[in-house]
Amino acid sequence: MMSNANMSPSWWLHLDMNAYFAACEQQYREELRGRPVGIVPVISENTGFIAASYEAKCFGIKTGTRIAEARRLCPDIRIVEARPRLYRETHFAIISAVEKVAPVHEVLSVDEMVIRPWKNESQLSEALRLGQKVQDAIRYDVGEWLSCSVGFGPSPFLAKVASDLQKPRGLSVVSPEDLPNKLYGLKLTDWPGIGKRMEARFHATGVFTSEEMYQLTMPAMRRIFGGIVGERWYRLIHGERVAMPPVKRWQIGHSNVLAPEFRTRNGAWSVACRLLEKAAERLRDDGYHCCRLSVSVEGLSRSRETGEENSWTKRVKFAPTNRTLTLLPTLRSLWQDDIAKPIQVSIALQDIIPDRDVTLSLFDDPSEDRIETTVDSINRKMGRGTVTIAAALCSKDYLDHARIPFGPPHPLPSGRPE
Amino acid sequence: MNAMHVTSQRKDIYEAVQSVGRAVSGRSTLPILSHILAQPQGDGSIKLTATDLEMWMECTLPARLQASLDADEGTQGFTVPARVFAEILAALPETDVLLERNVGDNKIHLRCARSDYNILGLPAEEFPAPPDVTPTASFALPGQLLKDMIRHVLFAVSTDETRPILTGVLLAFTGDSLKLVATDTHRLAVRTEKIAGEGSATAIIPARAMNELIRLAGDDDTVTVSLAQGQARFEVDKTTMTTRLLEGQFPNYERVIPTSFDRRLTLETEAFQQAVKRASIVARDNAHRVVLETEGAQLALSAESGTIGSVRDEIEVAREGDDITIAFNAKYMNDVLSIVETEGVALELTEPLRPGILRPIGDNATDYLCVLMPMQVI
Repeated sequence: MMSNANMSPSWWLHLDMNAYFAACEQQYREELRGRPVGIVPVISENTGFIAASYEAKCFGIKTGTRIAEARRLCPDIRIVEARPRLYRETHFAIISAVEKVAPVHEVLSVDEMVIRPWKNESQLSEALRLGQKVQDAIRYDVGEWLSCSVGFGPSPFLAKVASDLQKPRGLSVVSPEDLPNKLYGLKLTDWPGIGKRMEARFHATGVFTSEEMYQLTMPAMRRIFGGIVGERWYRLIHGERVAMPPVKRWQIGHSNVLAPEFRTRNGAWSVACRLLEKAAERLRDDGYHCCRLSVSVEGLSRSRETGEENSWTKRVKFAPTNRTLTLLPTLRSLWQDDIAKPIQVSIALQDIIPDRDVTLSLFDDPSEDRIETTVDSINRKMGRGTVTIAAALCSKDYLDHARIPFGPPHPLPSGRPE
Repeated sequence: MNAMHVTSQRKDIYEAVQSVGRAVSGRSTLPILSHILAQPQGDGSIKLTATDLEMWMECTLPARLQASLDADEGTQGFTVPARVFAEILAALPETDVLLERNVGDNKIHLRCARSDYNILGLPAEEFPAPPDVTPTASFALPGQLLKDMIRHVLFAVSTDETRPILTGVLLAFTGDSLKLVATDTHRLAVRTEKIAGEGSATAIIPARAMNELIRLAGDDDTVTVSLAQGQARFEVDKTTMTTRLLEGQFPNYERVIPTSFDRRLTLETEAFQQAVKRASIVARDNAHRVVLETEGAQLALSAESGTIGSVRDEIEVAREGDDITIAFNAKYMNDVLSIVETEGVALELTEPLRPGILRPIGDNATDYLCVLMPMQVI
């Protein structure tokens, strides 16, 4: 029987790119290097930053800071419109670079991933060396302005916590021996998963610091979280690797803050059609049918002259479908043309069920399925949106390149088995 | 001066109000639609009418009526708010109720035992006139038979808001037979009965009207049905229901009814239904999928769920054709098995992903079939 002393500790690495969108711009535009840079989704004085470079952060500028406020804090700030395609391409280049030295276990988002060292690199010193190699690989293969912090922990969760301890270019460890003292300095909202609302619940029970949180028993944690989630949280912060319950997907949706040239009735309709088309394509790709369509449009604040409403949401239930050509007339029936200056369109395909759980229709016309399948295969081969519905034509280029990939970019690199 | 003076038994008025009240609109922007119209009839009775403009309910009740002949308002009747009127009648003792309406205003004076109410109504002339029904076909059938026919198909009606035509029951009358059809595209129920009448017509009746008819018709009543352009009228005893028809093309249901089968499973209805119910406890967690697998003279019903576990149940079956493994939605099977009244049923199948037909068999078997679309076997 193997003694505990001989057992290899199991380490997880969490890679978090530093100021990712801003770093991409600095990498590919030399004139931005070393300067305060703020990334915005569209060039508009009303918007806020979706990312800020470390030089900008020195002035107190962060994600969410409005442009006017940023100009006040740092008059020299360079405001740059986001280039989603560049960020996606760079993301895949980063994955290729990382995979040269370590296996990517799971891609969490465009700038975060989990790495599981091979068994022969499971000692902490070897894992740390691996982390260094990962940082070097990104720097040499993708770009010197792209830096990342790597956290090491006995579980993916604590590795993520560790990755936030030192930024930029950190290599931080939270070992079982460090628990819990090393994390006492974290504010409650520094923990991934604790937002303002959860913080308020802790405060209501007299818990204000991480140290106080660690004093809680499992039943007390259950009470604060209101059930099993509390028990899971207790295990996570104590270094256990907790199997997360499968996330039940209930919708596939897309939303778009319209660029100024699309802030018209026709523009919004075109964007809605393309969003629906993309959502339906994802629905089919992921093997689902949906039973409900929800559409909403937001406009600028209510017009004083016309008194028109500034937003609407409509939804309808129907028999399970995954066909764009069936969903499109449904979208048309829900659509209202009463907002003169729309600024945001959202489409969600809801109540989704796996294809295998759908009872087929007695009246289905198989030729319609063939149309969708053929269009999907052309688009897969020739590029998304090669064949599109006519109404979506004018927004296709705009939308297909404008989506900022906060989540894992599509297609996902597949996760590796442990 | 009184324009109208009605006396009737509380029970009679209350039952009539409850009956027509089903058509009262709950969410209309027209205030008159939340009222019941009471009109004097030539024979001294009184007719109550309510509508939401989709359905009209009229009920005639015996009364001792005095309408002033020199006042036009007397013959127009009066209106009362349906909900309040029903509430008051429910609370009154079992004795005569007197209703009086004065000339010149819409106030109704209700007196019963030692209770006096003054109820504010609306002008009777505001109440929408019922549609004119000029029948293209008409027939009569016993209430029990009509209710039986409706129950055989109603469960298959769709609730899909995007396909309103499927939210009704197709009623096809050919002069000597009546066919009721309903489908939600996953299942199709067809019930046919020989019934004589005049003319021929097809109509798509909203499911709500069909439900009302089940409630309205007594087993011993005779229901007279008149089908007209855009309207259908059902007369039961002293109550008449008129409903708008759903407009549009009902799908060509006949083309999806399999005309032949490779396998036929004959099962005892009760045993089959109980086995389906047992399997559905597990299946409901997995899209209601129940797998049917024949093995000689046994039919195994199985279901699996990632959170509950699994079940396997066996019943006896008489099989014609090869063994088969096929999956159905347990809820759909239970819906149809629960309305079949014969001792046996036959399940006619071709392939695992092709529709199957479930029919009642035995002595009292009616001309009924339910086509069920299978699910994938996993």
